[in-house]
Amino acid sequence: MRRPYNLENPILIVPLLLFVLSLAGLYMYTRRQQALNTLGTASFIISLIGLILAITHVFLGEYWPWWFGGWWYGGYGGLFERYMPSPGLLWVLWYGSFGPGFVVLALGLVLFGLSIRKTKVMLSWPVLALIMASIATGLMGLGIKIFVVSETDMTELINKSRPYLAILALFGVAWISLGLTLCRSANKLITIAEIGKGAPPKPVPEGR
Amino acid sequence: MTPQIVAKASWVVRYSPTLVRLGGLASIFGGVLWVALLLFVQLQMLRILHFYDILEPLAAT
Repeated sequence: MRRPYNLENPILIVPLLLFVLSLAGLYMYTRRQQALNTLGTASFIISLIGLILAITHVFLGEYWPWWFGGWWYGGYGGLFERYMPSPGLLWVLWYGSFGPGFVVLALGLVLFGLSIRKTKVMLSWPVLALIMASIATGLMGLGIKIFVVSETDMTELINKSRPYLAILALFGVAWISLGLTLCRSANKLITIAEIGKGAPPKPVPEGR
Repeated sequence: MTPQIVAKASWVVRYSPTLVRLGGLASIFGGVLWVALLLFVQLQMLRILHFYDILEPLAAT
């Protein structure tokens, strides 16, 4: 039986799925404000892939390393072993970041931040907080993996490590902050009169 | 008539603030749930909550 207080508990899938919805809302808002460019779209796709990877990591749990394969997990199985017989340190680091999802998510969010840099979109602070929290989560995971060899020790250490838990909590708080900003911004977007005109609505001033 | 309805529906899907608001609400609930789960983990580790201690004997039987 898997311990219910393990951080890799399948229940974590629920908030992660809600974060996918949130990302969709952020995408809609950015597009509505005409602040979406090619880099923005690409960054959303990368962020979405990151979240899906994180969900897969939580869902597959202990079976996830098998899919990656490689010598650090008994040296058998996995997709990478087939195409990459000696994966090396990079893939160890890749797996070690609490699942690769957070690293990819952080990368996507950084690109998103760059894409809206020159626009007047209000979401700068919540998105910045989310970027910082994602990077910190990924880096802390990498750090723990570098200094801790076994997977069991790693899970135990993550569960007992207060700084890491604090950063994970900040990750949640950053999403709450983003959600509050999205809801507040959505209230300003009510432009019923524009429905049916066919043309995209004009961006609403942020008024911050 | 139908193309107009399709056009309106398309416009709503693309630009309606409802989806933005839905995303915002999902973000808030997700964040709260995330933090609550972390708190739950910590309370279990500190043995303030005993959920696992109750479940393990049940699962063993």
